[in-house]
Order: sequence, then structure tokens, then C-alpha cells
Amino acid sequence: MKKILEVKNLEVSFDTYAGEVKAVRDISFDLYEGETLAIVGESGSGKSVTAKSLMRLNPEPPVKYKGGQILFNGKNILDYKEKEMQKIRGSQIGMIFQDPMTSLNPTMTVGKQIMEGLKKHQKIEGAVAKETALNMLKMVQIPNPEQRFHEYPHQFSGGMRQRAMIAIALVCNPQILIADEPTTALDVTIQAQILDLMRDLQKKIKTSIILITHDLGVVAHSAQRIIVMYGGKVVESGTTDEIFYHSKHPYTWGLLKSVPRLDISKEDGRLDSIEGTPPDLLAPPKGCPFADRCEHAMEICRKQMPPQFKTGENQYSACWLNHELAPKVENPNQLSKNFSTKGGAK
Amino acid sequence: MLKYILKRLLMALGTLWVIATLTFFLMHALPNDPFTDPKLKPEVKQALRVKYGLDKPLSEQYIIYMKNIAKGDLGTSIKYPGRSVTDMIKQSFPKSFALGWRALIIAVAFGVFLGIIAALNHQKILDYLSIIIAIIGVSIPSIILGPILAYFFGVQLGWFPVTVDKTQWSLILPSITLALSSLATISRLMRTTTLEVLGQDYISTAKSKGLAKFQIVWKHVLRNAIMPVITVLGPLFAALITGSIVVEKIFAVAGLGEYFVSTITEQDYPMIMGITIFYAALIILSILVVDIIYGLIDPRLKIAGKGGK
Amino acid sequence: MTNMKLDPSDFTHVGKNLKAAGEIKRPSLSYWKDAFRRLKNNKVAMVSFFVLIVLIIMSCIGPIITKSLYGHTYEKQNLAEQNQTPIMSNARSITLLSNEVFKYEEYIPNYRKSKIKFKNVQLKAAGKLGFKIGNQVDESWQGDKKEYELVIDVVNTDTWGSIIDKLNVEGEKLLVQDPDFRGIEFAKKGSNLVVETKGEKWFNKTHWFGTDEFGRDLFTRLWEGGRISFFIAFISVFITALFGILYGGISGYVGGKVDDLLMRVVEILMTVPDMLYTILLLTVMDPGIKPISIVLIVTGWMGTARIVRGEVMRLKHSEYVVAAKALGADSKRIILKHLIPNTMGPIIVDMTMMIPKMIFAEAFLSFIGLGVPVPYASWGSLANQGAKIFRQYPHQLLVPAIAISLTMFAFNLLGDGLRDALDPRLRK
Repeated sequence: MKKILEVKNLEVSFDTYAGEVKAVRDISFDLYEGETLAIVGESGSGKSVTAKSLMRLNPEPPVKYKGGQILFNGKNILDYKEKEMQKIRGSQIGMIFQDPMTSLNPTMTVGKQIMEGLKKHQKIEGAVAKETALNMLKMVQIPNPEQRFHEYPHQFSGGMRQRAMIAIALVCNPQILIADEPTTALDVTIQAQILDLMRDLQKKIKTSIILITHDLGVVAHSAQRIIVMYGGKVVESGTTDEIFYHSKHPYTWGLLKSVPRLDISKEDGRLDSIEGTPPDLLAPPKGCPFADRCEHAMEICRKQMPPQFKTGENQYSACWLNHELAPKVENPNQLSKNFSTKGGAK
Repeated sequence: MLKYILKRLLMALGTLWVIATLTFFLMHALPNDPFTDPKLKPEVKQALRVKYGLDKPLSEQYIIYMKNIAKGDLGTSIKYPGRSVTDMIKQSFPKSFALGWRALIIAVAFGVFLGIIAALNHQKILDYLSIIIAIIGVSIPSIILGPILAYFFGVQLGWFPVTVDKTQWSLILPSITLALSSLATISRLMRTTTLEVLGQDYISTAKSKGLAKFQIVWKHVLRNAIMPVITVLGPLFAALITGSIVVEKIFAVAGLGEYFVSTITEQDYPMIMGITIFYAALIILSILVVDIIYGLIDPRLKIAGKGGK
Repeated sequence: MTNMKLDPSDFTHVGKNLKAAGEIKRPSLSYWKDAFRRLKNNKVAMVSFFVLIVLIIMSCIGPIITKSLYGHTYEKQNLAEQNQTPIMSNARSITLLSNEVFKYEEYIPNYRKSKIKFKNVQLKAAGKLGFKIGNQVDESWQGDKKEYELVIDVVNTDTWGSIIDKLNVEGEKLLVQDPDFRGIEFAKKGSNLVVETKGEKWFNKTHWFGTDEFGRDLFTRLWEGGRISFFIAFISVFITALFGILYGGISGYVGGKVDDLLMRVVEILMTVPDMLYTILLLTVMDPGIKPISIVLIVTGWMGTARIVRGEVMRLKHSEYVVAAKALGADSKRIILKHLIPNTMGPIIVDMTMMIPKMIFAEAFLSFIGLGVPVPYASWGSLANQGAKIFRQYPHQLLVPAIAISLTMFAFNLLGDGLRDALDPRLRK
């Protein structure tokens, strides 16, 4: 499969009044044509900053790209000037945001907002543009597209707004669609619909999707590969199967454990969570960022950052437990393969 | 939409009524008799009272008063019998208006422009410059600024004539003086709203579409940021009116403001009342117009009236 | 990554370190402490604050200083000392005595009459050209009462160059004869003729800010006026705030129909233009400090009422439920304990921003003639008087103008700073 995006040793920092916050500390990953890659992590893990970096949407002071490369179609976009970035945004890479309510201009009709991209990148106007926009509305399954075209965002429901956002992002057939927590602000029943829509569109338009989320249920539903981020670093990566059933990193184990489940009943009826809070990235820890919260932590974990150990065919885990000298530890709550993670809502 | 306009119209009329009534009762609460000239014999005083209808009971006077206002008759002067309020207004208001609309355009155009520039260059030089201009406009009242500007630009530099004559050029200095405090208010407000809008999510969306900065400002920022500024325009009119009183005196313009001051000094009560009601009506009218414009522009109000979703 | 040699001891189990994981790196402060800290960091606001303190202190002690030093009061008149400027000069005055020689477009003296600019001069004939320097009557304060005459003869062959020379030579002669003359200079600048007498300059020792047209000391009047202006402003703001808090507090707390009604009233009252009402009310009442304050209060309380009501309503919906359910009878006390500190923020900002509005309103009223009565002074009335003779004696306007502007400037900046400091959303 063709590689569309290569992120190599990316480092991103924020200049704040308190000092330099190292939000992204040397991460690398690839994106292939036609796949859905999920980036999973809690708030503060660096996943949003990473996503925005792919389009250079972070405000450039105070954000600084301190190192690494983002190779898109072979070229490093960190070197691009603003005007060159504008050519890529919306036409080759599109993005949808978390809150569809505030992400649409309240004083502009939805139709116009869709056509803006067409006018800018494909120089299409007038009737042709309107036709294309209406097709887009049909593709995202918004009923009565002719009427909706002339309406304003506040007249749409939450799910419909997110569909409109998807229409806007995909109207120029970009190679990559970045979805930053696309379902977090939506009702649970709508979530599945939006995810299915994205999957269908992906097959039709053949975009690759980068799905940013903290919700493992969403990941299970839609992604082929997963990257787990914590404390500004990639702690584990692999296919969905590998991560769900063969994870070799305690943080991932904790994430999997804390997903609420209806089939397993607990004696005390409480939800599991990972104790403690993420590290302060003003003064990031020397060793593994998860060490302070990890019950399997060892001396070496506090002292030195673990390398990416190859733990499966496509799987890499940054954990000292995978070193030959480490004690053998298994995920105490390993999911059994009989429990299906795909399927569910249509 | 129609409901909205109707509601606003009713409020306007209601307020006008309240003002007229308040003015009426205030004037009749005066401890002194308007006819205080000791040379007047009692019979003459009584005759005058009858002429001005002051001998009738209060409630009757009130009704006559209201009727007259509805007809457009705001009364006649007591100090200069024969002069009607409406005549004086017709004579002097056009000059005030000439200054007023120019000041309004200057204040709005430059205010909005400065505000946006400041917000786009947040905490850089242009921002601080516009903040300074804004604070000067707000802190230095026209009473002080007027003579100073007149002296420097008029006398010392000789760029403008110091008093107003027939030329367009001579109207510039007083218009600018009048506009300054409103300009300051507008630019400060515009700066705040623009900064707020710039932080909104839909601006990120616009950026992610690859739009250029200018397009984003023009199509997305401006339309949203200017809304609160429009609501402020109504009360701004009131400021322009009080400002005109000062500016007309300083630049020797024979407008309504200047005349108003002299009626106050002369204590010509019917005049004072009449002009006050006129001013009040102007302000209320302009607030009404602004409200209607706002209703037309804000899509949320536009659609709600049509019974949309 | 490093290629360090690792041994089994590195892999000994240590487990969780929750203290480190739960540590909050920055100390948390209470709302007021945090707001105070932020305000202190705002240099502009702090400078404004100190400027205001200085102004207020001067208003208190200024008149006392000059009274004890020179016996000045705000109303003591001394026509012999009228219209003095803060910077005195003993350059003599100069007027045109006789002129058959040239014509000019405009005659522009400066306010001391020690310099005259003749605009666009043109020679027309031969004859006498004379100037009178010094004025026995006007300038008796100079100590001497000397007058001089400087006359030259102009002939047909004279050019502007030679005329200027002749005039300057004559001037030199007078100076040599009598050093008290102190000198004069004639020059041609472009198409204008400029004449200026010379002298020394020094700061006015008895009247630091000069005097007005009645010889009253401006320094004293300024600070007396400051007392009155600040007094009016502070009292009005304070009482306005009281009314506003009461009205808005009740409206917000009680809610429902009462709130609707009270707010309707405020809405209608707010559309009435306040300046007009202030003017009307003052024409009805006799001028004075009390009426002005009353009028300012009557037109100002509504804004505060609205803000207070908004805050009370917001708090009611957040704290009330918890307090009412969890604490039963104590809810009233808790609400009072929470309401007051939480609404204080916007109220303080509102009050700070109202003061410059009050000062401006008072100045405006003085300008119209509805301000404090003579001989009292307020900054507004001083500015009004000064504006009238600004061209002749600019200091009489500039002195109160700077005071007013500085005060309004400082209050505005302080208010902005307070608003930023007290906004809980900006807490770091």
C-alpha cells in the first residue's frame, strides 16, 4: 500500500508565560492510502496538537515546531510557507472538528460554507458549484438538500451539523481527512451513524482518515490501525486486533479496562480508572511518562525512556516490560477473542 | 420578523409617551412662575396665564399638551413670544445635522477599521496605537479637545478655518471633534468582539479550508464581530447629540445644540421642553432604526420570525 | 536512543508513585488573592492607581499648602495679579505705534503681547514706522513701569532688508542706553514680519499654576475643584451602587413576575436619554452640589441594577440547588456568604468605570452653565472658563484639562485592569 503521510521524530512545543511546554516529544508514524488510523489518548497526551500540526493549524507563535519532519506526498510541510499551506488545506487535507455547533459560521448559509472551498481551490463558482455542493449534501445523507442548502447552522440538529462539516471537509476530495473527536459532542445514537457515514465515504472517495479520539468504542468500530499516545509520546502502535487482544503496554491495559462493559459484572459495581494524572509537560519526566502511575514500574522506567520494542507483526510497544531482562507480566484483564469488537449498530 | 418590528415600534412609542409625560410634570413642578417680571401688573399676568392655558386644571393642560405634540406643535417661547419651538428647530437643526451625519460616518468607518486592525495585530504596535487613540477619545472630553484641536489645526497650522462657513472644508474639524469619543468607543468594542470571534471554532474551520487571511476576515470575522457594534449605534446617537451641544459652542455653529444652551441660560421653559422632546424623539427613532437593521442582519432573528425550524 | 548496558538490577519492581502523579506543580490561590496578584502584575493599572492616589491626596492637601504659604484661597481675588501664567517672563509688551509704511493681512499677537506676527506684509510708502514697548499701566507687576518708543524713518529706497536692519539698530541703541529695556528683535520670515521683545523666563513663585481673570490662584482652585469633582463623583457612584445592588439584588433573588416587572421598568427608564433628563432636572432645581449628585444618581443606577441582577440570577442557579438541598435551613446564610463575594467583582469594575462618566457629566453640565455655582470651582467649571480664553491664556484651560484627562485616563485603565483581574475565566 502506498504511504501518504510520514511523520518522523516530530517535536512540538508551546511558549507559555511559565516556560516551554513540550506537547509532542519525538513521535513517528505513517499513514497509508485508504486506511483509517486512530490516535488514542487522554487530554494532554498531545494528540490534538499532533493532528493540528499536520495542517499547521496551530497558532504559530506560541507554537514552535522544534524538530522532525511531516512528509506529505514526499515533501516536508514544516518547511512550507503560509501561502503553500493554504493550497493544501481544504483541498488535499481536510479536517472536521469536535463541536459542530461552534465550528460553523452562524451568519453564513450552509450551502455557501460548502462552496467556499470549491471557489478557492477548484475555481468553481455559480451553478456548477451549487450542483457540486448539493451532491455533497446528498452524499452525507442530509434529507431535503435543496432546502437545507439555503439554511443556517442553527436550523440544523447536532448530527446534521456534523454531516455538514464532513461535506465541507470532503468537497474537494482530499487525500486525508483528519477527524478531531468527531463524535464526542454527539448523542450516542448519532455517533454510530456518523462513523458509518465516514466509513462509507472513505470507500467512495478513497480518502485516508486520521481519527483522533479518547473513546475506544469508536476506535473499535472504525479503525484499522491504532496509535496510543501518552505524555507527548507514542507508547504503543499496531493493528486494532493487536492492540485490543495483544497489547504489551500497561497504559493501554488501563485504557481497555476502563471502558464500561455491560457483560462483566463487578463485585463492587465501580468503574475502573487509572489512578493519578498525566505528567506536567513543562518539566517532562526523564523516563517513561507513565511510570508514576504504573503498578509494574521498575527502576529503569524512572531513569530512561523505553525504546519501541517490536511486539507483533505490525505492533510496537514502548515499555521496558518487553525487554528480555524484565519479568514477564501479562495484561490481567486481557480481552478474550470471542468478544467481538466489530459489529453492533448499523 | 414583522412581530419583532411591531414590538419595537410599540416600545418606542411607549417610551416617547413616558418622556413627554415626565417633561410635562417636571415643568409644572417648577417653583417659580415663568412670569416673574415684576413690571407686569397682576391683570396682565392673569391674561398671559389664560393665553398660555396655565389657568386650566392640570389634567386638562396635560391633554391639550399631548394633543399638540401629536399634531407636531411643541409650544411657543415665553421669552420671545411668537417664536414657536418647531420654527426654531427647523431653522437650526439642519446645521446640526450636517455635522451629525458626517461625524457618524467618521466614527463608524474609522472605529470599525481601527478595531479590526488592533485585533489582528493583538499586542503588537498597531494594537497599542489604536488602544491609545481609543483611550484619548474616551478620556479627553470634547470640551477640552475641541479648543485644543481648533487652536493647533486652525490657528497655528492654519489647515482648517476655526469657525464654520459655507465650505465643506470648514466642517471637517468640528465633525472630527464630534466623532472622536464615539470613534473611540466603537473601536474599543470592535477590537473586543473581533478578538472573541477570532478565537471561535468556526475560524479554525475556515482556516482548515485553506482560505487566505483576508478572506477569513472579510467573510467570517467581520459579519460576526460587527453585530454587537450595531446594537451600540442607537445609544451612540444620544452621545452625538450631547456632543453636538459642546462642539457647536466651540466652533460657533448656529445649530440646535448651541440654541438649546442659550434657552437653558435664559430659562425659556417651553423651548427647553420642546427641544428636549424633539431630541428624545430623534434618539428613540434612531434606536428603532438600529433595532430593525439588526433584526434584518442577524439570521437567527430573521429565521425565527419566518417560523423556521 | 541510548545503547546503555542494562543489568537485572535495573528491572527491580518499584510500582506506582502517586504522589508525583497527583502533584499540582503550581500552588492554588483563593479567588481574591489570585485577582490581587494579577492586578499587581498589570503595570499599567498599578501606575494608574498611584496617579489617582496622588491626585486625590493633592486635592486634600493642595489648598492647605498654598493657604499656609501664601494665604491663597479659591475665592480670593486680586485684580492686580490677574491672568498670570505659570511661567513668567519679563519680556515687555509691544504694540504698533505709527505705521505709514506697510500693509498687512493679519495682526497676530501672542498672549503676552510680547511677540507680534504681521502676516503677508507689503511695503506701500515711505514714512515713519514706530513701536511702543512696555506699558506703564499693564505691566506694573514687572516692578518697573517703563515705556519706550522705537521709531525709524523709511525712505523710498528702503527694502525689507534695510528696514529690518534699521529697526534692529534702533533696538540696539535703546538697549545700550538702558539695560532694563532688555532687547527686541525684528525679523522677516517668509512673507511675514515678526517682532519679539526679549526677557528672562522663570517659574511663577507665588502662583504655581498661574491665575485666572480675577487674579484667583489656579493651583488652589484646581485642588479645591478636585475636592468637589471627586466628592460628587464618589458620592454619586456610591449611592448609585447601593440603589443598584438593592434593586437588582431583589429582582434577581426573588425572580418570577416581580423580576419581570422590575426589569421592564428599568428597560423603559434606560431608553430615556440620560443627558436630556439631567439637563431638565437641573433647570428645575437650583444649581449646587447636592442637586448635581442627585441627578447623576437618578440617571446612573439602572446599569448597576442590571448587572447585579444578572449576577444574582447566575449564582442562584448554580449555588442555590446545592445549598438548598444539602443544607436546608442554612441556605440563606450560605447564599449571602457566596452571593456577596461572587457578585462583588463585576460591581467593583462597574463602579470604577462609572466614576469617569460622572466626572465627564459634571464637566459637561458646567459647560452648559448648570454646574456648581460661582465662586465654587469644579474641574468642569474651570475647564469651561479656560476654554473661553484658551487662545489668549492657554494655561487656564490646560491645567484643569490635564487634571480631568489624567483622572479619566487613569480610572479607565484601572477599570480595565480590574476587569481582567477579577474575571474568573482568566484564572491561570
